[in-house]
Amino acid sequence: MSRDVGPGLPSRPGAPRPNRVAVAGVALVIGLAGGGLVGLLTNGQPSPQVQRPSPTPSFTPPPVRELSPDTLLAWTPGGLPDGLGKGVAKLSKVDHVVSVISGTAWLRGSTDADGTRVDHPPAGLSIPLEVAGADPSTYAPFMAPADRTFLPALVKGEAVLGTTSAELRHLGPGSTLIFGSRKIRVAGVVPDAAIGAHEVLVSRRVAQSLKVTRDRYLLIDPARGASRKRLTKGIRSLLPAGVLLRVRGPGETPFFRQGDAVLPPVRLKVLFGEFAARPIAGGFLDVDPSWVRAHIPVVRVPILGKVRCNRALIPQLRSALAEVERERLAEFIDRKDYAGCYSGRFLNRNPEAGISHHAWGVALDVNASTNQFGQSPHQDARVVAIFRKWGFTWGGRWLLPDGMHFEFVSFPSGG
Amino acid sequence: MRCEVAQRRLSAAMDGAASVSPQVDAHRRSCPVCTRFEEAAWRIRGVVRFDVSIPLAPDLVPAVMQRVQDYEADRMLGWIPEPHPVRTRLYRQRFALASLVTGLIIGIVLTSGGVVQIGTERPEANAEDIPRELVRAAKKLEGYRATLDVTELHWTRAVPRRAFVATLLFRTPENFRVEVQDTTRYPSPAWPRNDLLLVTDGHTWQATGPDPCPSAALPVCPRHGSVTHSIRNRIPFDSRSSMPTDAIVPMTVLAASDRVEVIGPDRVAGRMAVAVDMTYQDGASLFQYLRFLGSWRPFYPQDRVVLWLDEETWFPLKYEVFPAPGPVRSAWASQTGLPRESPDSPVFTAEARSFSLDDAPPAGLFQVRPGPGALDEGFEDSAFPKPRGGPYPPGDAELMAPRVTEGLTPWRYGRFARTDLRPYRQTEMAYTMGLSWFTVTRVVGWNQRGLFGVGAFAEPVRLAKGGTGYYEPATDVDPRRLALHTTDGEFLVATNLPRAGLIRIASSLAPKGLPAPPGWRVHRWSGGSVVDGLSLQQAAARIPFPVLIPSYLPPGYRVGPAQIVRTKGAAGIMLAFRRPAAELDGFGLRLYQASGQSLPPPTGADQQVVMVGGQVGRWSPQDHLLEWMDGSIYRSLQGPEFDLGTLVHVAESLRRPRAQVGSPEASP
Repeated sequence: MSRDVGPGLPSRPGAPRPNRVAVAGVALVIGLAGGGLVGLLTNGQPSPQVQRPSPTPSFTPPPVRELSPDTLLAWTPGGLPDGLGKGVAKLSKVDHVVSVISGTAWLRGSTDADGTRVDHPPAGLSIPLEVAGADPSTYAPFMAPADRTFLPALVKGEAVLGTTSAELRHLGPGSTLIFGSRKIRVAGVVPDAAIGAHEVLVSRRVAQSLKVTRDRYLLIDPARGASRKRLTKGIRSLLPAGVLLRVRGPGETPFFRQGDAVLPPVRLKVLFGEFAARPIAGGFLDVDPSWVRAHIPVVRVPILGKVRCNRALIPQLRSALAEVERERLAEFIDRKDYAGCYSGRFLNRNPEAGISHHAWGVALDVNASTNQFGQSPHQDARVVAIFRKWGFTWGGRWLLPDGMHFEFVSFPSGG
Repeated sequence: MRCEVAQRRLSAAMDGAASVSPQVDAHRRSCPVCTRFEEAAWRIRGVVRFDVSIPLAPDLVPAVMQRVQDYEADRMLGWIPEPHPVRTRLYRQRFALASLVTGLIIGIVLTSGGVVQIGTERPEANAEDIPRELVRAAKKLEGYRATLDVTELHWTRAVPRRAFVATLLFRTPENFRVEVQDTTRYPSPAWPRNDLLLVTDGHTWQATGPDPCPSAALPVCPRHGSVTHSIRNRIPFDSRSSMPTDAIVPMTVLAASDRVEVIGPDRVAGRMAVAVDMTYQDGASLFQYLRFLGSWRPFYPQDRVVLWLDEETWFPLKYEVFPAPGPVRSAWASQTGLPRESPDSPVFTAEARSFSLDDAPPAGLFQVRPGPGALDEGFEDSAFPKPRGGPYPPGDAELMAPRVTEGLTPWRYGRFARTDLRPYRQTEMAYTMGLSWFTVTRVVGWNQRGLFGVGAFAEPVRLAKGGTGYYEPATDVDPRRLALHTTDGEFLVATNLPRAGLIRIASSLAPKGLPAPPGWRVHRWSGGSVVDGLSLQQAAARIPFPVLIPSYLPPGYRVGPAQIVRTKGAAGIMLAFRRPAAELDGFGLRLYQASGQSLPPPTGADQQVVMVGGQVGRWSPQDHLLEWMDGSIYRSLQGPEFDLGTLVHVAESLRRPRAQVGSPEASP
């Protein structure tokens, strides 16, 4: 006996069975008639039908692997000793070397390609720009070949901007930067990494005319088979006694530039705002008061009480200090030995040394008396770990230790 | 200790699965590879701001097996309950039911689906017609007001959905106002609201709203509250103080494009619409009315924008952004802090709640009173010049007024004061009709060795009477423009009209465009030279190795002028590929090939080794730069809007041209 066994629906044995074909045929005819009627009624108003957006042709990227470093960055705190670049060029197994000067130039204004004003700082003030200078012919091997089209312009006295700088300033090729009485045309825009995350790259000669004169770092292209260890030793041998050296390879630092433990100024500008200022006596800056009002509030935070920091830094500073307090480590931060957060000044109050990141209100000095600049640091390791977790770098680990200094490097959420 | 062991334990410690042992810590401190591994791992963890929880996929097999066994056992035991009588009847009539349903479906398809045509035929939207219709709609527009509901997803984890109401007002020719009201319910008042206002009457311009805020810092911003940017004595149709009218008629890309892809008819808010598909990279100008200030989520260049255009008036009724599929987009999303996004669900929607073309909004709504901090663009309006008369610089009326205006009428005329920053005489004429416009600029006493208003990769175009012009497609900041070097000064024609219209206008100017002086194209320095503005054939003939060109290019791209770069011992050729109507990033795709050049030393933080064909190459993700050595020839491909997969595909398609390869288009 055959039986249709549908799940849960077995047929009752002995039930009468109709002619299935005839029933199905009648049903089909009824369906056709009904469907046709519905179709006719709706004809003339076709139901909207949008296809799915078609993706652009997409190609699977090939696998990638990490690049073994073969370019070296070398820098010394406070600037390179005279003649270091020439000395390194004479070392064996070095193909190319370029010495880069870096410093602050004061932008009085800018125009776009057709002469329309773009930057216009308040009267009496200028915008500090971090400018790099290098000899175009020795810098050329370190530029992407496609970017070398700007070399004639650099030699002629023009500038190239980093991508972030160009976006920040709303400037592009053909625009003009005005430094004092000097006008410099912008020849093009290159990736930030191509110019050590500086805002502007010019020739050495032009940089010197902007009073940017200090050699800050070397880019070294070792010959095939060169040993990094030996090269580092060779560079050390060229340094005067007591001068510290930092050598880095690609991937070990975000940008090949001096002072690579902290963010370059162009990044600080994007994250925390750009101010106009003017240098005043004692290595201080007279920062645009409207910028200070908008960006630097006075707030109360755990342990330290009232502080003046950048508005965007305050939540993570509060969180870091609250965690220090929660972990019962507050005793390791002496409220009376807090040396400040915002301070409009140059690094070490030295006008040749670049703008201090305290001028953005993104660094703070704690336990200052026992953690003097250049001395052995004495901060509690657990406090340092908490600050690190909240996006601060600690100066105690720098090449030239600054144990009191904690500075923003990232937002705790990763930005 | 081996690195892989140390790295595994470091990784486990990051996940909180274990603590780092002193041996691992000591190894990490002494081993640069592991130090770098740890830093990179923290960085990756840092950028992944959303906790991506992968749901565990339960193994269904045992459960299903259990149910089958249970049923069999119950049946054998006679424990299966009596089926419901209705179910039993339906089961018995299943063939009849199936036939009925089949008949219904066939009937509906035959009579309504277009197989059997009954009644009047509705015209289908034609892709080729859309640009023309858009230009026509733009020219006819006197006034416009619309209210759009905007929804944006995944701005931050704490605020996954934001809502806005945008009100757009336009009154021909240069009155524009957009007000964006943020109606989102934020977790607390500390979050910045994207309430924005942009108003211009053409002569003045003002934008108010919060400064863009780094998303990682949210809800705090470096600056609290709103900022105001004002401009007075504005240049007609100035692109730097933009009037983002593409949300009214998408002139930048669609009105000039021959690549409009119609993906179907549709109905939006009760109106028949034509749906058009494009990449975000191409549709970015649709979003400018929102993005002039404030903070917004990012989009991937290859995300898809679907735009619904009203079939009757051709104004946008709705547009949505769909995430592009694929692992590269997913990686980008994770790096930018976005959650996993499905390509099938829109992450941004703007839909017109209402729009009206009947009454032009009153002029008073567009008045701006810039404060003392306003930027003065220095444009001095005068009466529009007429031939033979008036206090105008000699020749402006005769030389600047084109004979072909594409139906546009004179609007403004003026000049800039000569200053030390603009040490030449610059006058400008503007023509307009509805939303369409063009300007003609004349510069006398030009002091630079290059064409006014265009760059090194401007495409030479043959004009009427044997003249020459130099054309640049629109970018996200500049309109389509064409430069002429003439004996009466430098001329620049700029417009939001299509390329062909621009060329017709420029061709009808009285002065004849001459080839740019050879001296302007050659730039020498002690270490070599750069020569611009060559055709591919001219450049290839000067290069001592076979120049390759791609046999595959992304849709719409074509080769433009070439550039030759010579440095000590090296000779290189740069080819720029762009799309003719608009290349919003201004860069497109650039191929560089050089002899006497090795792979330059790497200086970036994230460079990686990658295979290109059979060669070892280098990928710099931050710069979207792919470099490789092909024997003794260095080659690189760069395109800010392209991912590694596309660039490698283009790279692997490089071939020697058979004979005459497609040179830059030389005629309109």
